[in-house]
Amino acid sequence: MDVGEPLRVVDVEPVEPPVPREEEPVEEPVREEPVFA
Amino acid sequence: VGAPDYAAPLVGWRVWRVAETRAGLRLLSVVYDDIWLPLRPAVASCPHGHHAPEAACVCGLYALADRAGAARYLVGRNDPWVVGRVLGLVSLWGSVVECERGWRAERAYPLRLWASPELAAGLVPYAVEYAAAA
Repeated sequence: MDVGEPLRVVDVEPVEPPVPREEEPVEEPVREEPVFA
Repeated sequence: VGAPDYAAPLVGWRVWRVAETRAGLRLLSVVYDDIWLPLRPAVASCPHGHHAPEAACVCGLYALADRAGAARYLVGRNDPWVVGRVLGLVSLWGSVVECERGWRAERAYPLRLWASPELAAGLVPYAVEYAAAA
């Protein structure tokens, strides 16, 4: 791939990560059952 | 001052080969047999052993500023296990050598791919945007 001659070197630090995050498993909410005395 | 030159990734055009592997379809450089893994940044290396990219070398992950220039690489001789080629936009970051017509970057990840529905379905693990190839 012909990008031509180098001009300068820059430092690129993205605020947002450019790589998608792995989807985390969705946890089912714990259903609290009422306790009857 | 320690602050970077850019706080958002640079974006360029490039072409990947698409290879059939045991794990499914994977993106591959058009020149080298380096696999770009899903959800992992591609990281440049140099056979000369120095940090990549270096301005005085030719190492780094390549991208072009011009779509038409990149699209020329959609045509080429493919190995039997290569099922196609895709054009795409790529995010570039880390240490980046700005060049006359593009960049050589330390880190990169595909941003958007123009692919046939069949290839796009196989490349879902990359979790990038897909557009229909012309």
